[in-house]
Amino acid sequence: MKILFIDGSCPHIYNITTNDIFLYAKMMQHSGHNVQILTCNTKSSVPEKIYVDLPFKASLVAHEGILNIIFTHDEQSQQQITTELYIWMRNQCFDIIHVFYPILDNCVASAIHESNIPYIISISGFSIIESQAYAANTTNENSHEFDSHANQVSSLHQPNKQFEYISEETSPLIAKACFRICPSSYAAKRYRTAFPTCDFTVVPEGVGRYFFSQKRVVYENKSDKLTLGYIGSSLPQQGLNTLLESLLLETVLPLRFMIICDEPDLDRNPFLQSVMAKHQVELVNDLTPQNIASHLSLLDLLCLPTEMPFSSTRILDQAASSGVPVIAANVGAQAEWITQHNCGQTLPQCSTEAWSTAIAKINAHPQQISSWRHNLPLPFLIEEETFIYEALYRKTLLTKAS
Amino acid sequence: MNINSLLKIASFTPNALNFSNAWVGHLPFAAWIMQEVSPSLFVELGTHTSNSYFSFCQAVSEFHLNTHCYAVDTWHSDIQAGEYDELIFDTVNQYNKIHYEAFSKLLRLTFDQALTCFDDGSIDLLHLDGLHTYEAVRHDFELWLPKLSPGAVILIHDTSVHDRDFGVHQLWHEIEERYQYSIHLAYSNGLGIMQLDNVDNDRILDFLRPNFTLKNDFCTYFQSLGQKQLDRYQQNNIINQLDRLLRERDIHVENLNEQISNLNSDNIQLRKHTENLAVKIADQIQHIENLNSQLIEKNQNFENQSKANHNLHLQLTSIISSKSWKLTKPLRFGRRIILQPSILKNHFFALYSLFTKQVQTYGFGGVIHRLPFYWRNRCHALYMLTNPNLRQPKKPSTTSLSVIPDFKLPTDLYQGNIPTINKNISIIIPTFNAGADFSWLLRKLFSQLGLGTIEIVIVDSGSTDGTAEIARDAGCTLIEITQTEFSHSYARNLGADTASGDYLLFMVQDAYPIGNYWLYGLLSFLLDNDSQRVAAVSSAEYSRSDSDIMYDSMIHTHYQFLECLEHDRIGELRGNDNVALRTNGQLSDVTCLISKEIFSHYRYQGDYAEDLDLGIRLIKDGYRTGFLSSIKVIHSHNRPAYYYLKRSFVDTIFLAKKFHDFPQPLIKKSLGIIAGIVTLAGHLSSWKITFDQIPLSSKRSTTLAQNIFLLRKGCRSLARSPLPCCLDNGNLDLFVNSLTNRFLPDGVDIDMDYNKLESINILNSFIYRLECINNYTKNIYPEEGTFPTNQLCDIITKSFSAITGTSLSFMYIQSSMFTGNDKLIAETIYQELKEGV
Repeated sequence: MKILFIDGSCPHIYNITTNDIFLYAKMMQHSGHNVQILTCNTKSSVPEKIYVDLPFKASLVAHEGILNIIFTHDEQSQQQITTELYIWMRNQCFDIIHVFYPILDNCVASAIHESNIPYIISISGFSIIESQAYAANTTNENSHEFDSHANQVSSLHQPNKQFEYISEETSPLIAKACFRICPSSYAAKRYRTAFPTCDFTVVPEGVGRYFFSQKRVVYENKSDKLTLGYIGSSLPQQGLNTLLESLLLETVLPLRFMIICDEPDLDRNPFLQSVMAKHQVELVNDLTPQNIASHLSLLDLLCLPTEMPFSSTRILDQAASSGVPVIAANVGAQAEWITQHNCGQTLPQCSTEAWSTAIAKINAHPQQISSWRHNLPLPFLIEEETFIYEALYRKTLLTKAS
Repeated sequence: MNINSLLKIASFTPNALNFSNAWVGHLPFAAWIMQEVSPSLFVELGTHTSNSYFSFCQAVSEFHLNTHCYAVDTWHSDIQAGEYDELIFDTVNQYNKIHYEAFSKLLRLTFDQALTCFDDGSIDLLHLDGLHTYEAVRHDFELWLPKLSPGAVILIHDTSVHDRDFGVHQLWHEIEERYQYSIHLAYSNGLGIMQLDNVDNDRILDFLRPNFTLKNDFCTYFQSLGQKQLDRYQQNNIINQLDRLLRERDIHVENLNEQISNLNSDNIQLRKHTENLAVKIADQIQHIENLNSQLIEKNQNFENQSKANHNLHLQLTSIISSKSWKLTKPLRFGRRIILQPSILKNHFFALYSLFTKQVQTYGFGGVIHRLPFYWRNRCHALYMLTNPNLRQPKKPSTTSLSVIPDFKLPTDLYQGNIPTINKNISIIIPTFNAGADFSWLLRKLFSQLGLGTIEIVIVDSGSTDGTAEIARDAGCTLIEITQTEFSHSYARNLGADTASGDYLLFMVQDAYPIGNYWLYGLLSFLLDNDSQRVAAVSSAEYSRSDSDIMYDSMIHTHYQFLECLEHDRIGELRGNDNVALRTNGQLSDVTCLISKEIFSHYRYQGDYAEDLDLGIRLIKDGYRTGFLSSIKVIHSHNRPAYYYLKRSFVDTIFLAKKFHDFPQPLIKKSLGIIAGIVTLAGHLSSWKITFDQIPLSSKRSTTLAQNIFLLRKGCRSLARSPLPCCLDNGNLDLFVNSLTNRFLPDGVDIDMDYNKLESINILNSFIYRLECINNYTKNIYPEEGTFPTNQLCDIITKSFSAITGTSLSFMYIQSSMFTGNDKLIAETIYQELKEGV
């Protein structure tokens, strides 16, 4: 099969070696398929330019055997771009297109329609807004803007406000896909409400094999302090602030606290400085998947305090495969996952008291962690996820042929 | 008080000793008091089994008293006597009629009803033993008091019982305070005796007088007499029990005698049946002997035929390699065209067929759009079109498989209720140092859904990394064997013997199922196709995320051969040639599901390729096998180059031994093969040195096809002293260089024909193998700059290694035709390579 992946983010733009889409593409190559990735990102600059030989403005990056076409347009008209794109798709004779939504360009959505190539769509976020909130999390925007985005996204889990942010161009893209894939039953449930005539298939996001091979320290045998972890931006934001404030309360005894984040700016977060004075804090900012796996295995408990209706549970699956239970904000697929498996605790984002009480209680009764750890579910491997994608491609092509 | 009567009563023996024993201890006293009072009218209130009443009656009879006796009871169940049936009354009534009818009557009435039967002041001796609550017994006492004659004697039983709701002791306490003539016998639940004081003093019984000094001795005396009767009562019970046991034993003995009689009869029939079978077995043995002699004869014929074939093959090879044959090749091609114009016609139709298929698949417009794609692949397409053997599947026409056209989605994707299959599965995994990920595999297997119970049997052959402990902790059944005991068949058969499931799944320690309904899917396939006699099913492998191109290409080629690359297929016996048997019978040890019943008939056999052997035996017996691409298991290995050498060597020898029609080139001399290998190794080492010196930026744009061209171009001539092998800095280099040092110390004799012939054969095989990998990779990495050149050396080294193993195996297989040094070389290399795969 010749497959085109379309996504909205290229690892080279963020100067990292790989991302999920690249891993999927590698797995498809192992199965004997030819995969190209079309990344639509109108804002970013292109890090490496091998040559430009396409009818539209784009750059090519060949990385580990995968051709990544980084596509930008800021000069030509939308209609012209759309036409050039779909002609190119046809000429390339792609058998199938896999769209990883959200994509940030309406021209691409239109071109997929025009090409008549069958496509499936993976919906990893609720809307563009959620993606912007993610972006805010990683691009050092100020905390107020981040919280504002988060609040907007939070409202999406309420049934009457779902999907009002989905643009006119992308709604038909979801509706006309051969298969629509959601990463959790939580997300699927909400999309079924928004698109009552469409079916949504749940395929959990896979975890890299390196998460399996970590040798974790068994808490019961440790004479050391409780070790908490946090993954996300170190910038001031409501969820993180709640967690930090709770750690400063008297009820919480000194502990170890590992912050796995992008480059921390301590001057912008006074709470963090206070926490560092009371607790043993370690800041980790080398964020390759392998490094995250090895750091996770050192934790007793992972804290995800930011209230956002995440549609995916991948970070929890990664923690689970490292044997780490989670306490998290009580919204979204993550909260549903924790409740379903009884392998952690959900807490309100704004309640410092609730977080401090929970942490103090866990510190006093460490056997609770053992109980949660025992309930941690078996995560899905990335190979399992891509095999299911491949099965869906085959089914799509067979259905089309018949 | 008459001492004689006291002494005489010691010999009194009650004729009736019935359940319960509460009254038994007072029976001697009952007889004595009857004699002492000698009443005209005696009444007993509450008779039940009549232990007491018949002793009173017996005394009347033995002492010839002129007494009328009445027993008053309803003989129905009550709270204190408990539940009892009519049998008790019938028994009492019968006994009374037989022995005491003359003076005794049973009144089946309540105490209150019986009052009207007696005149006031008429009863001389009254025994009160009814309901024992305080209210009831007081009620009875007060109601019957007017019926007593002056100086009458009253006996009240159960005066010592203080438990339950018994209140007789309370009444007796009141009586003792109120009536001065009384005595209390405390044993056997207690019996209170009192006499009314409304008579002259001389009619008062001595032992009841307050001043009677021997009261204690009196009580002790009657207690000892009563104890004697209690002992009798116990003995009677024991005798009764022994009688009952004796009767039961007699019945049991009778039953056993009957069973023995039946068994004797069966035994006689079985003996007759055995004798018949022995006769039949003797016939069968004779038949087998006849068949064996026929087999020996046929084997002899076969050997003769093989030798004749070999000679013909030698002649044919010499003709084909002759210059005249090569020079006349164009003439033969022209003759074929003239005599068989259908060749051109076939090529035309093949092209037309390909075109129509493309139009059907992509539409006319799609085909037009794909023109650049066809142009890029023109060379490959022309090659396929002009080589009918490549265009068609490379197998006899009889081997086409049952390919299931539909593609089933994984069960995990179904959203409705998935019905449970109530079958129990035993998973058997041979292990040796299974590694840290092994616990994940066990968790994954135990969490499979939609089935009955899942049992995992681990057969561990001496792991030192804690594999056995992981298995034990996870709840697996663990069998431990030594490494010397291990063989693939033995370990799996051992596990199967221990397994208790309806179905057996054979797996390997480094595979990992996809999804939570993986096992469910395999079993569903087996059950759905049960009517088609599908006996076993395997799932295809899905490469791990870290697998290399060499492995991916290898399994791709393998599944293409099995015709399960994109579809599920069912294999059955469609011929006895090697291709038909291998494609249809192939099962895989990585996963193989089979019912325990069928497996127990076949089991694994042999030390190598036992999975293929099992599948072939199954299809030869009329079963079918499944091989699925819709259900896969994660499994792959990044093996070192030297492994490919050993694996190819052992694989090829196995296949050549297993299948007499397995194709193999004719080998003239061992030294020719060795010369070909070291020459090619030297050439590849030279290429590698050059390749390593190319700058990284230039390497990015190179492709496998370009390097195949370079390798083919520069390898046509023999070098007398080829470069030492320096391909992998490991065992492969050591092995190839040792071939040079041991067998070609003086270099390659470039004038010898066999050296040239074998070198060219090995090079061609190597290039063909690279072409196959190139065909696989060029579809994955068609764009310039995308081929992962970091794997280029790996592909070339491993391909060379595999070709070396195959060539050496052909050399060994044909070494029986060799003599002298050639035979010795083949045998030496066989001993080095056969172990460890």
